Amino acid sequence: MKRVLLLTTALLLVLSLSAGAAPKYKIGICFDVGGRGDQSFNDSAYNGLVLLAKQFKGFIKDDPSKVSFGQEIELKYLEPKSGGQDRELILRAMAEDGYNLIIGVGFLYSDSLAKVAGDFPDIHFGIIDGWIPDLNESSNVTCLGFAEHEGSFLMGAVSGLLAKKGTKVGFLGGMDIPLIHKFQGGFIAGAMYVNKDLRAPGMILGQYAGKDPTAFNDPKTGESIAVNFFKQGASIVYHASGGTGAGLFKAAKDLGKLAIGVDSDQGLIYATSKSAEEKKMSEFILTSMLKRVDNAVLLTGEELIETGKNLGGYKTFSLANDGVGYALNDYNKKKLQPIKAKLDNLKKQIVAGKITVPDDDAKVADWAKTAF
Amino acid sequence: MFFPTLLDFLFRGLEMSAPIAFCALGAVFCEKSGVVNIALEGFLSVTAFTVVWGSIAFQSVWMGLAFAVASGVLMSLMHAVATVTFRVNQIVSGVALNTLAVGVGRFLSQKVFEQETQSAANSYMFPTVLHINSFTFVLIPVVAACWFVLYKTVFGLRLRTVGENPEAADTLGISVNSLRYVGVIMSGVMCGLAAMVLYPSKWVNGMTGGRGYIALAALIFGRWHPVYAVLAALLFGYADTFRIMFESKIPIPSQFVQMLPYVLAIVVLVAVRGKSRAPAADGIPYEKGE
Repeated sequence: MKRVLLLTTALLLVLSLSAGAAPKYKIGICFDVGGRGDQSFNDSAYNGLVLLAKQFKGFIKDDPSKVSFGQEIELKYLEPKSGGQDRELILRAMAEDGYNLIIGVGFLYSDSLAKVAGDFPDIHFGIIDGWIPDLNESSNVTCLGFAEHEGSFLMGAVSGLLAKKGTKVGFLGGMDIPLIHKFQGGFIAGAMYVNKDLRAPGMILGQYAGKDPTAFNDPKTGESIAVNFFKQGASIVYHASGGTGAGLFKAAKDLGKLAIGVDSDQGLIYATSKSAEEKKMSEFILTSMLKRVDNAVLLTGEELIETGKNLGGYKTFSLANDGVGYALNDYNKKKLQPIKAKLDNLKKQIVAGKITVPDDDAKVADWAKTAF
Repeated sequence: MFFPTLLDFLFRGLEMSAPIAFCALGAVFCEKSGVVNIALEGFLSVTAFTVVWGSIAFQSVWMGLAFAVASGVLMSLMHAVATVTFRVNQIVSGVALNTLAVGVGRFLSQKVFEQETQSAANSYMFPTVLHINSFTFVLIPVVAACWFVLYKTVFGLRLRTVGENPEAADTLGISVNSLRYVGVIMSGVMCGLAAMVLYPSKWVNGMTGGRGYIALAALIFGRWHPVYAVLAALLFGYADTFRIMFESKIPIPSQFVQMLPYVLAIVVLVAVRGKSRAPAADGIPYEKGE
């Protein structure tokens, strides 16, 4: 009896859901641990949904902020439990719910997404920052990567243009892995490109917080490295170190130097924070290297809606498609105003292929021989 | 240029070592009384949160200190109740507390700061002196006090006896359990002090980065002696500081520099074998005889 009742309710639910005009496409994202409100990755991915809703008259289902611009496409997000152990489960739930495109946010989805994608060949999957080998155009998975070195090049340029004469610039990395060396390579190249003084050896400092994942959450070490940089004569330090960067912001505030954030607009986040101390710190955050997860979501959704399908394989979001960039907000616009034209010009040159940016600090020396 | 850099290195190294050293001192008390405590890492990750919480909530660094010490005591009490009163396996209790601590930090952060992985920034801190947190210097008198208490007072003698030969202590009318409680609670207090130096500006999930475990290594390397344990902690701290300050300037691979103190620890432990031993009753729950 109970089972019959359950089945009927389920059936009724399904019927009531499909009663309205069926949306043309259904696009869903599965958040990384932390979920909405993390001021970083997930919030950026959510913004991607909002942009899609705006552009294609869609709505976000079960959304507390009730984003709705029409009924043309249905958007939805799910969040794993705090340990992230149910990643595969929520991917599967969305797939069974008939979503046409499902995007997993964060490289931790790599394994579960590959598995679920194998079981649902008619649904397309995307994975932000993840890596699944042996994909091609006809695969139903797209790896959405970012050209972090191009964005970091602009951060290097900001530092090079704004560093006082005779001062150094620095790069604080999190864990010593190839991905972070990509940031470092771009940063060094950018700084050297715009500032001749910084081409001398020893003018661009670089240091990693550690060799294991705790290096992304170690503000104590971050602070020590940053203070050391500043004492050695650095005036601007860029970080690509996750939570470790909090130590950089504190050091910059304490010593009256400048810092550059990463991934999201950290200056804006600090400036609009409830905490007075963070507001104070924001004055020392020059800008941030933006990793536009929202644009990756928007462009992937756009591809589906406009062409009816997604191409599989590997896609890189770079300066050319606004996948990476620099943060310009009400709080830092005065500081960046004098160099904005130069930055946009550099960006244009990179997009046009006139400047190629090295994607590892080890490649900078060779690159410098021909670059200027 | 050489001299100021050296001074910088000395102070920065002291600050980087202090959290490990405080934890190691706590471990000395705990293990001298006969209770193994592998939950230092967990204690530290909780106190690292509460110091920020207390400071911001009451706008006073002293309240931060009080919160940190109180939460350290609370965590250590759980360990004491489990291992001393209920004679639970001390390793098992330690593992459980470490696991619990991860959740406690995130849960409290979500409740207090409405974000799970980092707190708001805190401006109520001890002043910065010579570019390091001035609380670092508290380490020096604390080490001296710990040595004095353990080796020059009746209480210290009793505490050590309880860890070496609880039966004998019991025969003499010393309460094994209450002394062990004190030993374990001291480790909580010390983890509270450690948190004062471990970046008290903001709590970031996972910011302890294994320092509690390094403290255990320092304890063993330091042969369960407060002064030697702190020296061992300094060795680990300075090795790390050396890496972050000079990695790019020296031709030696940084991994090599990082592994040096551990290699040294193994060499020393082998060299002084026999002399380095844990308190005899360390890790063994005491059951009062009939």
